[in-house]
Amino acid sequence: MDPFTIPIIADAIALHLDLTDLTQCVLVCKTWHRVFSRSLWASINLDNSFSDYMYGPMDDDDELVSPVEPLPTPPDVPAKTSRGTNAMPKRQASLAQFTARLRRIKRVMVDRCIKSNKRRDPHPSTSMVELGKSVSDESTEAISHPIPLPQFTEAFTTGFESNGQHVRHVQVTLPDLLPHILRYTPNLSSLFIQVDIGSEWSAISKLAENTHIRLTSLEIIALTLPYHWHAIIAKFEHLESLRLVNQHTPTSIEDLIRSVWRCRQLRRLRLVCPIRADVAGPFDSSAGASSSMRCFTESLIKQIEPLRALIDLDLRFKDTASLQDDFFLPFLKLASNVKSLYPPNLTRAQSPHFVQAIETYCRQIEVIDFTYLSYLTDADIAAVVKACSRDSMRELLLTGSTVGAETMAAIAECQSQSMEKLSIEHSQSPVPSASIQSVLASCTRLREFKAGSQGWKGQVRLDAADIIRAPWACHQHLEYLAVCVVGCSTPSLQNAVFDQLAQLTRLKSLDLSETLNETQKDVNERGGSLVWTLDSGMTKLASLTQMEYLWLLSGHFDLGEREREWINQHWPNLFKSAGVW
Amino acid sequence: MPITLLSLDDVQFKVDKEVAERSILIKNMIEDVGESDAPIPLPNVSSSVLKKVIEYCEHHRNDPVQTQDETDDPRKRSNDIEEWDMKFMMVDQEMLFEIILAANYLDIKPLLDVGCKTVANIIKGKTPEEIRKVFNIVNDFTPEEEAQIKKENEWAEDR
Repeated sequence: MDPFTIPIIADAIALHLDLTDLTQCVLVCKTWHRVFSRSLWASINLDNSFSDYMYGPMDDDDELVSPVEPLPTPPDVPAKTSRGTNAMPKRQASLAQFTARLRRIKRVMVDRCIKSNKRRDPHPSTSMVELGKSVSDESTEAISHPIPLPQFTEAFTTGFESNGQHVRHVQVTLPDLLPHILRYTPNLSSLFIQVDIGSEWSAISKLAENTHIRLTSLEIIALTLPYHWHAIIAKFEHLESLRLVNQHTPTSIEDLIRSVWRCRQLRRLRLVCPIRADVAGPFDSSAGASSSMRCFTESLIKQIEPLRALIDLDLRFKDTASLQDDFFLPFLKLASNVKSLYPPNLTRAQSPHFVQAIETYCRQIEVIDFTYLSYLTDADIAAVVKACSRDSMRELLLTGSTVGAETMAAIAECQSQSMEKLSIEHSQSPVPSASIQSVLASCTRLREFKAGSQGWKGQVRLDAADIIRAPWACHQHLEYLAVCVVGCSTPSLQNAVFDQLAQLTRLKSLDLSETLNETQKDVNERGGSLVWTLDSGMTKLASLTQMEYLWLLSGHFDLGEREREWINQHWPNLFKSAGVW
Repeated sequence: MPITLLSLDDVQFKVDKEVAERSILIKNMIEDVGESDAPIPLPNVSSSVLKKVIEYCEHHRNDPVQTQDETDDPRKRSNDIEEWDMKFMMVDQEMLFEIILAANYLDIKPLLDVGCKTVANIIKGKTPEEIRKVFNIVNDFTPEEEAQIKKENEWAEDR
């Protein structure tokens, strides 16, 4: 038996490792990740499952101990238990363990308890899980010794008194606890908070007023926004990273801009929220609810000074279809230095404006994600690729969008010396084989190329006859290749394709699986796929010693015993259970 | 009074009660069963490992019972292995793991602790790849998973 699989032993080993070593341990394998994460991540789950109590009796096997006192539980009231007292030593042990643990962690997560059928806790008792990256099934079992809020607060502050100055990252989903946390964390720089109701924003507001704490990173997951939310956010002037996810309160472009445009050090901005079309505000005093969006947008844009530090912009807004065609213009002007861009979902009418805006404001983009933005045409995408500075684009993600010859030609022509990661899989339109080949033959730095079409319409295919036309320029860097190779009709073509693949000595992952829904007729017309036998040329791939993953389609053929043996011998790092083969 | 321990492979070891009771498991068994000549079966421990464990308990028979000091940072003590213990732990990896598992089963905290310290010392300062080599572990992460974990744990690196 491996002692690392026993949590208590792994924990005992982890006690003698520092955080740096623990971060290495969790990367060793999945088992180590599971057991050592327990020491790297500490979490407290707070239960607020009032409704559970209202609608059902406690189960006999429910170990929960809950305070009898009604909400809110005053800090000086000792917890009473509604169940037997035998849980107390366990709870105290948990508390002691928790307090000890607090003394050596730098990141704290305070999370609501999972609400399961077994939980009937009427009050916000607290419970500790040793591992709590997320409230998952795994942690459900660990939640067995809940700690009532007063005791929790005491333990929390005791632990923080000695360690709080080292804590820089806090993740909390119960805003009531924020004051307790802030009291002992003068060096807090990063906060993740989840708020369910508008009034909970008062905790964030108080934090914004606290001049001793200079937050550089703030993530807020909110169900709703209060009317003055943008004024609260605007007070965090030192932010370098802001992520705002709002589920239910439609907000205006104006408020979003106002919330961040004074954060001159902002480097990363992620906004996921519904947008409302009716806007009026101080940017244009004449603008009322009836004023045109055009007037508003122009007025706003005039006032915007670009945030020079902003390099990462995520605008995955919801409900943008009813907006003005160029609603994103203020953001793109604000982010004119942006290097990494995640555009909002665009309609057919909005797409050309977006392309034009990029051409006008954002020519330094290195990473752009057009995944499943299906209204952008091949010409639109090609225009963006050409608009960006020559050889500046490193990643272009086009999964599920409309890629064609124009885009591929633009990449080969304008970004061939910089492109490292390109994904065109599941393209909505056919991608000519010759254009795929031209990208592989011209992009010298390509590290990852995903052109697979498994389970899709099979519109992205690379013909063997094209492959042999020119050597692949990316052979020195390519680590991940997913492509559907067809047309290997003769042994010489087979050999030539294997020759080309053999040049990819850095390759770690090769996905040659094909579309699953093709017809037999289709297969016959293509003249067959690559045959993986020792006699057909696969032995040429002995040079691919870094190989870790191989995907081939099962069903069409299976690798023979000799081939498997050869692979075992030549690709020592191959993780065999990955992929279909 | 000597106690007889019976290993997994039916080998009997006669040890002093004081030595045997370094194991909390055995101590509790003796208390539960009372004075008896019957051998105590230890079905999870082989004779080769039990011999080592007894050797450890013999050496430490007069040590005071370890108290759990919550305030002491265990990381500061990780290099703090007595010379005798260090030599005792100079065994192959399989035996080291067997000793740890036995210490855990027999509930001998100081032995478990020294075993875990030894393993921690092997791990310290090594990259994931080096750790895999030392412990003969296969990397079963995809590159994407590995990148995700690195990203999740970025916070610990600026320590």
